[in-house]
Amino acid sequence: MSRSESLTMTGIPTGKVGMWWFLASEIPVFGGLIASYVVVRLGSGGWSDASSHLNFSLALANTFVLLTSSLTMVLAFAAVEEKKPRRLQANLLLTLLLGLTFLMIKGFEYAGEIGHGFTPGAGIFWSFYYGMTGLHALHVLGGIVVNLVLLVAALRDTLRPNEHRVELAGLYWHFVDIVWIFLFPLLYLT
Amino acid sequence: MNIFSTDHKVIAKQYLSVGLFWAIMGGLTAYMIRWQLAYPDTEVPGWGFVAPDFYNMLVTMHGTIMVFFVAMPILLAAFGNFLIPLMIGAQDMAFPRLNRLSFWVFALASVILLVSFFVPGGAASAGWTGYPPLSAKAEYTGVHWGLNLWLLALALEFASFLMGGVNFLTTAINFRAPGMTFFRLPLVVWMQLTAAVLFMLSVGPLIAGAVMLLMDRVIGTTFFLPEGGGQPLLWQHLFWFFGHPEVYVILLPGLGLVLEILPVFSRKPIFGYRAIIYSTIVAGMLSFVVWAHHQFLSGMDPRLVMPFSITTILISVPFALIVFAMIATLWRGSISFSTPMLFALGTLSIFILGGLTGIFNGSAPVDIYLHDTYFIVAHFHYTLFSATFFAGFAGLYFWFPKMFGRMMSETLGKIHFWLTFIFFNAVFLPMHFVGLGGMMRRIANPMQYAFLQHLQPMNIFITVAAILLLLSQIPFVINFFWSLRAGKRAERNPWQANTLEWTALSPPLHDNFERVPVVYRSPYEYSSPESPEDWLPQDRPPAVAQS
Amino acid sequence: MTSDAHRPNYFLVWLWLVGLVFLSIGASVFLSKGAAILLIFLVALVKAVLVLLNYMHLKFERPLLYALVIVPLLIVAILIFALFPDFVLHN
Repeated sequence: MSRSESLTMTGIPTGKVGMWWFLASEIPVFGGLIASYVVVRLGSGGWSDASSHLNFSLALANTFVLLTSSLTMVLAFAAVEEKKPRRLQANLLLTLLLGLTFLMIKGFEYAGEIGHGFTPGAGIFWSFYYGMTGLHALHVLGGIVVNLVLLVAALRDTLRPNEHRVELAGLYWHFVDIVWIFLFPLLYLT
Repeated sequence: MNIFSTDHKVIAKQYLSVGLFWAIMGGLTAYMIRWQLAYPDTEVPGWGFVAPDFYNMLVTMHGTIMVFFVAMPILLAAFGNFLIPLMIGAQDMAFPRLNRLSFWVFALASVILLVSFFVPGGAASAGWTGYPPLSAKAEYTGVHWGLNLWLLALALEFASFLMGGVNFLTTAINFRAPGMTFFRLPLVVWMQLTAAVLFMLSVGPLIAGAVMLLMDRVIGTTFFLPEGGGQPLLWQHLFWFFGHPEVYVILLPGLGLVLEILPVFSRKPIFGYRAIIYSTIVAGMLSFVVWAHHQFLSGMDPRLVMPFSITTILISVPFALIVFAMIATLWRGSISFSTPMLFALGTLSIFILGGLTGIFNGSAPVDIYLHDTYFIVAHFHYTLFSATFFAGFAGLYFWFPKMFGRMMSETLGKIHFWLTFIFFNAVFLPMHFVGLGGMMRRIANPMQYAFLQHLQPMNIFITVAAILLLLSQIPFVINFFWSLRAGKRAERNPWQANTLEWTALSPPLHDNFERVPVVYRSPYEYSSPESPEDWLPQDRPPAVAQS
Repeated sequence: MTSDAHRPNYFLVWLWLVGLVFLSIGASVFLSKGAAILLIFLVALVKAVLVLLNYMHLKFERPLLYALVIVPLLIVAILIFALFPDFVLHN
């Protein structure tokens, strides 16, 4: 058993303890940004006219993309446990592609908004919009890189004895999905 | 030193080296600040004229360096990395390669901070607290890239310590040796873990804020710029929401070192082991709800003032308990005044004074007068200097034999202690009166103000004492480097202490222990009836019953 | 690890998540502003909990790990609460 998979004093695998602590520290990062957005927005009259300029359909599509990528990610993890390497590779690949799709759609969205003059400097709503979705997109990118590394290892059959890393990468990926679960209504549905 | 090593002991020493380097830089900024205050608009010997803008940069960088590049790397990263695996009986940290990466990221942050001194416009100058709107637009400070690099360096430093925090916590949770239950952990470990939890959970909002500030500066957002609908006060909340727990992140490891050293040189168990732990946890929780005491005069909603005053006064209670436990540990002990013990006692006495002035500051009506004066500066130097430098030196003198396999000179150590103790108080005790006399923080020339001119003799006295304080560190530097080469070789347990690190070689093997230790007892069984000596190591099995 | 417990039906959870997205959209279209906002954020909470418990397998883990989720959330709640006077309740 590799080091970070070892079961020790508490019976919880070491890698999992580490990843949950990391996620615990990430909650206040997005929490701080979201808390700021909520209070400043509530205190300044709503910003609904600004948010009406957002591209709802693209964001909705992105929501489904990310939700589905969470499904494929957890199916990849299940494939590890069921010892089905082909299914693991397929689901990792799907997750990767869906993640890239998310970023592409987001980029397309940004391009449209900037084209219409809604740059980051266009007003306080736009500051928060670019800040929140930008930080989230960076996290999606990070997750894509991690998943790519895992996929390459899986394809080369060098993932053993570190298959537990798929579960750990999954925890991170689901966290990024959960952040979007809140960002979507916060920005697009209010 | 091998920068590819994943050995926690090597990484600890790397953090120590960088921290000590920055301590010198921090001391240099202090020297220049004090010279300018005592002899405004004269040439600082060895440097030249200090213009007001440059002065702002000095005070900014002094604070930033001391908090983030001296205290954190030495107290948390160096001591934590070195001691935690050894004290819990583990071979290394849970994630040795992550540990390696965390130092590289910290080193990168250091390089970026260093570079920021040399870019056009100079280094950051909006205070270590970086309040907008001043910090949000380059034209307000005249500093363009320096502030951006400052934000970047801080972000990387936070990332490095988040990685470290994950490592410390996971290691202590999962890699304890058999028999090492949570309530047999040395207090150093408890304090490091609490500090790690505090850091991990409080830094998030400031990371968010730093991203927002950087975006304001670089891509034109208006999070903190009123003309764009932004809210400068928001930064203050985000900053101090982290900033206050952060001071306990720095304080707790230092207290842990002292709590470890006092029993050894009193040959007595620690008084109130569990009470200390519970107090620390309570203090940690309270530390999340006191932050706005830094903002009583910021223009924030007055309805927040009383609740935060109350929580601030409350937080003195658990710390008072810890202080009483320390004193009770000493009571009727068989005290030996070794250098580590002197520095530990120094930490305790100075910290008490700092804590007492904290009670004044926490009371909002009093703070109306004291805020942004030198009284505050005196307060936090009493608390932070004791926790960082006195405790840090205590730890260095105590664990030097284990880290480097040699003993330091007691004579030079005692000289270092007394000079530092005397001159520290000579600098910062009068500073309370300078503050009470009305001298504001962050002004480059007190003589410009008629109502401050009568304080100038005290300012000059403080400056002279400060220069002597800096020079007093020379015995330590000599001792440190000389002992590394030519100190007497250390045995495994020169202090006859109980914790597991003293069962390892000095310095320990790569994997720390020749055999996995098994723990049978608490760390503080000194002068125990069970043992013929006045110490009883954690890994000694209970005596077999005589038939 | 988490393999010994009953595995959740990941696909069923996905269906719920998708359905809840449509519910939120419906709320924003058909309900009054206040009611919509309440429902939308309750739904977001439910979706997050579904992902946490099922995809992140939190419901099969030790209670200690729940603390790692709940405590940071409490901390964020404290922050929002304390920010209200300055940014929402000002005159």
